[in-house]
Amino acid sequence: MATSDRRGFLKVLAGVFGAGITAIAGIPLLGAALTPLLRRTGDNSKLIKAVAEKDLIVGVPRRVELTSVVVDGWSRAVGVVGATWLLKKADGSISALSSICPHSGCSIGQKTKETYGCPCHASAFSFEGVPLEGPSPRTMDPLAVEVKDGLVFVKWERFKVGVKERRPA
Amino acid sequence: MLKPIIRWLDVRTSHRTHFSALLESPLPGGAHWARTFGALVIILFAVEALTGVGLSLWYAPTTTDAWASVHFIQHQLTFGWMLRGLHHVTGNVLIVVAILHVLQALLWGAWKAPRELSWIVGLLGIQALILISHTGYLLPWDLRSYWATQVLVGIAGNQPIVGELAVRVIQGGAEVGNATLTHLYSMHILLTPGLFAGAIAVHLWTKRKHGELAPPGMTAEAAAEKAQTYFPHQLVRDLAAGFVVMLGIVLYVWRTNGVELGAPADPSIEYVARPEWYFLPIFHLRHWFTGSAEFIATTVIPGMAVSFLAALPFLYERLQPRVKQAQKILIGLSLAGMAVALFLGVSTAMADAANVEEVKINEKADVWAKQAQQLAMIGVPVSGPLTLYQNDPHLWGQKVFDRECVACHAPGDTKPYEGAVCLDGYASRTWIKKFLRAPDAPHFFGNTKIDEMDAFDGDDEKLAAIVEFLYQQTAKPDVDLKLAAEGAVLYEKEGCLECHSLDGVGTGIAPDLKGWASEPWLAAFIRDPGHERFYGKLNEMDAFDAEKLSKAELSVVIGWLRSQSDEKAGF
Repeated sequence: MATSDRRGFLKVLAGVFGAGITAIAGIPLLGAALTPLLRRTGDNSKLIKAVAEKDLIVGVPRRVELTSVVVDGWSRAVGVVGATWLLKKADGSISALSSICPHSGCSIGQKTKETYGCPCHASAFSFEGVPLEGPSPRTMDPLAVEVKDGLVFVKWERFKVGVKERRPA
Repeated sequence: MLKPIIRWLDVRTSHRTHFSALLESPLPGGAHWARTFGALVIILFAVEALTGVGLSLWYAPTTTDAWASVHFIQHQLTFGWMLRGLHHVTGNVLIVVAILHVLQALLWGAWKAPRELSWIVGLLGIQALILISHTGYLLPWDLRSYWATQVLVGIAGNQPIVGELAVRVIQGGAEVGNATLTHLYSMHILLTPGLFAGAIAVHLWTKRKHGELAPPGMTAEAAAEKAQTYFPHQLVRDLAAGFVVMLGIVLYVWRTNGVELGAPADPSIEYVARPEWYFLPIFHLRHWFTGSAEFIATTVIPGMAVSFLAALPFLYERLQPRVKQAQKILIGLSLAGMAVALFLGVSTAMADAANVEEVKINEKADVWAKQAQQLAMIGVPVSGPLTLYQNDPHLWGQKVFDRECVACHAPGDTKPYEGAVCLDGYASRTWIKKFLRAPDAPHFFGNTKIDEMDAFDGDDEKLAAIVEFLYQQTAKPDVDLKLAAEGAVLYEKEGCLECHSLDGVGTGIAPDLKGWASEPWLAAFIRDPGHERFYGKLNEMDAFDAEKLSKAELSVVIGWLRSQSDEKAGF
């Protein structure tokens, strides 16, 4: 009885030590692996200079790449963050739509004289971003626009694709 | 719940029989703390594998990204510093433990027949371990890594016959670079740990076949009487030893905040490169065997030492019938060899620590390392950590100045001063004052073609007003407007305007001082100092067009020039 007690105790002890070793190596491993869940690593949403206002023609949409300092993991560079479709209306106001298709994230181009289109699943959108055909679950995502000293600035943002409700990605 | 699954598995694998054979195998002489070394090697290796997986999730083996990604691991990841610290320290402890395991096997006579294979494979395993460790040493791509790689490549290249070929294969390119790092990384995580795991497998296989030895000096009867099963008696000791060692390592890493990342690899920075501690004996030997004899230090002597150890069982077989004390003599010789290696290593380490010059060089590198770590917090430029200074406009400006300007515009404390106008403290009130009082001094126009400017000999009050007026031109924020206005009047009255136009009004003999040392003035000046608006025919300075100085560089060097303080003009 005494020896089997001792045996049982040793088994438990071995389990404790084994678990201790695993924890020592495992906790930092999990911390490193799950850092993206614990903290936002890199955020590129910001106001970016797009184009001079005078270069926009009323009623003619223009695709503009948004270039800014991008932090990608450990590195930092001036690069293209995303692209936007800009449209100057008759009243002089300017609208910006994200070029990322809300359906599955492909890049939206101009389809006809009056529509945008996404090549991946043949979606079509009006210049206001309203889906006309294809599987897009919502309108194209609008981006905030600011005009300062004749320059058009666009607030770049990414939204979750494939869902009806628009929410940040 | 689990039991049916285990039973199902057992029918197909009979793993229970095998495991119980392992766990219930009897240990002659019983459980023993001295037996824990072997298990410790496996435990620590497992820790290395786990922490290594964590590191590999974030590490990038290229010359532009390696340092940056290790910095990211160290400073941005949750417990990243601990992960890396554990991996580094455990790796070193693993080698120590493996050497102790060899020592123990040596003293216990575990190398004798029929365990020769286990012994030899163990020795090979240590070499695999050193390869793992050394390839890992190079991966952070800091100064230490970089110079250690250069040394390693040099040594490998000097081996007879295969040396150069091996270097070309490992280096992968004309220089130590991207291909080298990626090759080393692959070797570190795949090839060398694979070799080591293979060595462990053969080692365990032969151990299983021949069983464990009794402690030395114990009779067979006593050993049989005291025998215990591996499980749980020895297992609990193995795991306890593993836990205590790991606890010690965690506390050490905690107290030291992990392993420091040095300054980024840079071929132009002086650094005293030393190999890891286990290579120090060879490092010492290299002082004695140089040139084409170098491979004697790097290959022949270490090779002979390992071969001697590997040959122990066979030497013993030959000697034992004739020499009574064969075992003691062989063990004694082995220990003596190890003692010599230890002595060589320790004496090198002590000599390094005592060498003031060397310590100073590395302290300088450490200062830059700290600065680089700070700069990298907002991300490392994609061009790599060597352009980290671009994260700080002031530092960048100084770099540009050091590269393009300092050859003529020497530092103020240069003796004798033979350069063009000294720009230490440029456009500060002190600098302007000194300049006006002695424009022909060596620090100003003394070494140039210009000798037409008169020193200002008015009283200090007038001088202060003119200084303030000129200072106002720089468009710095802290101008005394009233004093500057007085200066504006004096500028004409005291004769400055006779040569120095102001906004195009005047003779234009000397540079127009409207907006002097302001951003636009400096930009125009640096691009074209020979322009009529500036020195005209008297100009000796090179024009810095966009090819010589990019827009960004021009902007930061102007920023640097405009940040000069009064104290700097202390020459």
